Amino acid sequence: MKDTCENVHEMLSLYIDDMLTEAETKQVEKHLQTCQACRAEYVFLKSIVSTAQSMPKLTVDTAFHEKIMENVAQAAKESQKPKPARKNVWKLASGFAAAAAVVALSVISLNSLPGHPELTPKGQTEPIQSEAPQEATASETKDSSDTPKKGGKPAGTVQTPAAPTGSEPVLADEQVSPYVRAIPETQTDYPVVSYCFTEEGYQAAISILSGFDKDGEVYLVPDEQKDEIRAKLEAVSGYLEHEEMQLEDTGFLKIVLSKE
Amino acid sequence: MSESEYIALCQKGDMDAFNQLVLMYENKILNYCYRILGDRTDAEDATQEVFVKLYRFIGSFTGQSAFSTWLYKIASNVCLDLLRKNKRHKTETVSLHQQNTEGEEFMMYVEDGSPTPYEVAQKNEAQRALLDALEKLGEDQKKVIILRDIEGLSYEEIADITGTAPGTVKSRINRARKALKKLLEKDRELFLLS
Ligand SMILES: [Zn+2]
Repeated sequence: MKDTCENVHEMLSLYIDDMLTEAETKQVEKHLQTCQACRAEYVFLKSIVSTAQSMPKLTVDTAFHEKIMENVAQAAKESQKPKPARKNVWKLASGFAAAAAVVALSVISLNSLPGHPELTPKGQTEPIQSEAPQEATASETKDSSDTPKKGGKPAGTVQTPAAPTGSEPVLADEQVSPYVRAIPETQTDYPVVSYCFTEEGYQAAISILSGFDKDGEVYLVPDEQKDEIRAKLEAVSGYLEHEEMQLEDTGFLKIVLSKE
Repeated sequence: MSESEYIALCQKGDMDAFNQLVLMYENKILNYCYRILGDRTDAEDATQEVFVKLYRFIGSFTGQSAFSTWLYKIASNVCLDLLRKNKRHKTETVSLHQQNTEGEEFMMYVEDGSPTPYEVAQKNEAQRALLDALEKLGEDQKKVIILRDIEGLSYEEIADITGTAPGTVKSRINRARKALKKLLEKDRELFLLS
């Protein structure tokens, strides 16, 4: 009887939705007639489902609908305006990258100063530092050759938490992922999405994007992979927000990373 | 006219066709956002944004997935963004990334004393308990319960919207309901009375 009860439990949800075969339906009904325990489970589950079904629903009224259409009309108008600043999106994106680099550098220099241990975020640095060499953030360390390399003072290595903890491998910058595709030289006007992360999230983001063609902090991701990559970036626990800057489908998406 | 014909017209910039698409989906999207966000004003803001995004993105819709899948994905992203922003601004709300029993990561929002946004919608204790339990499910499970039991969509529609195989939808709904039942065990009487 125990076996049957478990089988029936597995089928109750589909039974409620009338999604079982005829034979299965009969089997469940026959069992429910004789087994009080399963009947109680069925009544409970059915009641949960009914409660969900009777949940109050919101309805859109005319004013709300009109507001949607107004907002859309506004967006349409904006997209028709002449866009001189958008002529070269790469430049725009590079601006972001530069801003991000400034942030990165200022973090480095602040933390490189001796005698400022209070600037060290507590908790996440020690374990990372001991096992994480610097190559993961080569682009940052390049510009700060005076930064102590491995085994530096704890306060001096905060800017390179480097390899994300756990199992994700970090590709070095030179390593080319199989995804990378030749970039058509004529096409420079790609859509841009700018992502903002916390310090740790930023490192994880770099490792997600490693292998893609990059210029500074701007990565070029083929359309076939952009959804997957964007989903990954947005799943990073240090992900804060993103901004989309242009939306046409052009074969590639530029992704700009920055820190909070 | 069919949905795909409307979409094709929208892609050419036809505002009347866009108006039709909005009419088809605005209630669904508003309620979907409402269940995810738990607050009417937030849900309304999110819905507005979803349709502006839809307008801006529709040119890039290729038809590779069902239109509803794509639109709900936009809605889902807008809502998650809003949750993250709210999370950052509301100091009384602590968000924790946790693992549920199935090892899926889910976000738990712990509110401190302040009235929950659901209170407006609560008709009775059972509904309140159900909404609380729903908040504790993983995102995928929460989504199928919202779509199936609250919004009343068919298994096929859910498969379309979530971009999963029908078989997966079956097992996901089954598991989600079992998880819900387990969470509601302590409130069992509420449901047997209602
Ligand atoms: Zn039984």
